[in-house]
Amino acid sequence: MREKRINGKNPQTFSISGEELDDAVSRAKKGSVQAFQKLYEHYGRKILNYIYRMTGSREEAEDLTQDTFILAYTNLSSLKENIKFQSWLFRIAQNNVYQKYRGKRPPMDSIQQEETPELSDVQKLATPQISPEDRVLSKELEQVIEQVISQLPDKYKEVFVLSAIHKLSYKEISEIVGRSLASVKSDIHRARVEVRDKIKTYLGENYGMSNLF
Amino acid sequence: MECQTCSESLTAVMDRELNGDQEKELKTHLSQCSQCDQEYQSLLYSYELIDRIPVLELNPTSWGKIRAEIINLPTQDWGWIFGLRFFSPIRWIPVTAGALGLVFLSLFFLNQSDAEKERSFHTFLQVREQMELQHVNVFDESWGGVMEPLHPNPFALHDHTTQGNPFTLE
Repeated sequence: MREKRINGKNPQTFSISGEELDDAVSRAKKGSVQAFQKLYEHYGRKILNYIYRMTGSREEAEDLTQDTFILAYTNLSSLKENIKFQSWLFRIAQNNVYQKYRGKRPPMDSIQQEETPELSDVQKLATPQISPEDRVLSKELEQVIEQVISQLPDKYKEVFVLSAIHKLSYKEISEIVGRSLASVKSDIHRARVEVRDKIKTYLGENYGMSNLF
Repeated sequence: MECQTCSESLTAVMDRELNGDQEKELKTHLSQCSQCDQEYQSLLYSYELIDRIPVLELNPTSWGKIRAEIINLPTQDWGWIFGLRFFSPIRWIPVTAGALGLVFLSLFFLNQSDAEKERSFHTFLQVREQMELQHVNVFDESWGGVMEPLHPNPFALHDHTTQGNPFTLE
């Protein structure tokens, strides 16, 4: 069966052990800025990327990430189980995003401003000029995937980003979004199929070709 | 396992959300059903593409901004007092002001000098004496006079005898 974590590009690569997390959160609760900095170094990138996928704006994502961590620090005493810090932090980030836009769909500025490549451009990616050893997606294909994700309905997008980009378990996602495990499982499946179908439409016959990455 | 069930579980198995038995059952089905296996390979390919999209890196100046904000918070580095920070919200200000007011008033009265206390006591006695005198009516010149009660009976006669029962027949 396939390994879930394929490469080191996604933001889940900075891991922290349960004991380290418990220790850092306990010290941060007592006011240690150093311990909180450790938490920021471990989770900052995840939160930044989560907010970026939800808002589509890098600047907005950076501001909201800062707000999220400041809010987390000031409310750390309300966190009962230190081990659930990650879910708790994502929930703060999610609330920040929704409060910012108050039910409105966030403008997907930076992602949509990028010009979507024509199908013919994408098809060119399948040419033998791209070395199979080069395991990095082409810029055009990246943009297509980014756009497909950004166009998902909010309900699917939040669970998709948490699962596909941040590799959170369904249980954690269920806690963050406040929906049942069955609902989360079903939404992730639908989002995955929708993303797959759209990418497949863009790539056409090139879908499944190993020389795309 | 039916194809429908298998199809709905493909993402769960790729996300490692199935238990051992469920995964084994699904694998067996995939090895026997080419259509489901094709769907599995197709989804697997999209997983690989998505896993390769780049992620944003943190701005190096971000932590400095967060640090500047949190070190200016009033409850920072207060050790054991940190746990009492729920007293800081603005809703506690009126309660604190009231409590301080009571303390100041108590201190004001407790700090009176002995001379002031004695003067206050004499004033109190004089006032009480005057009040008692207003209600005392002496009929005889000798000391055994009758003190009029503070709240006399309004139905009593002038010689202080009570009237008979007004509701009985004569």
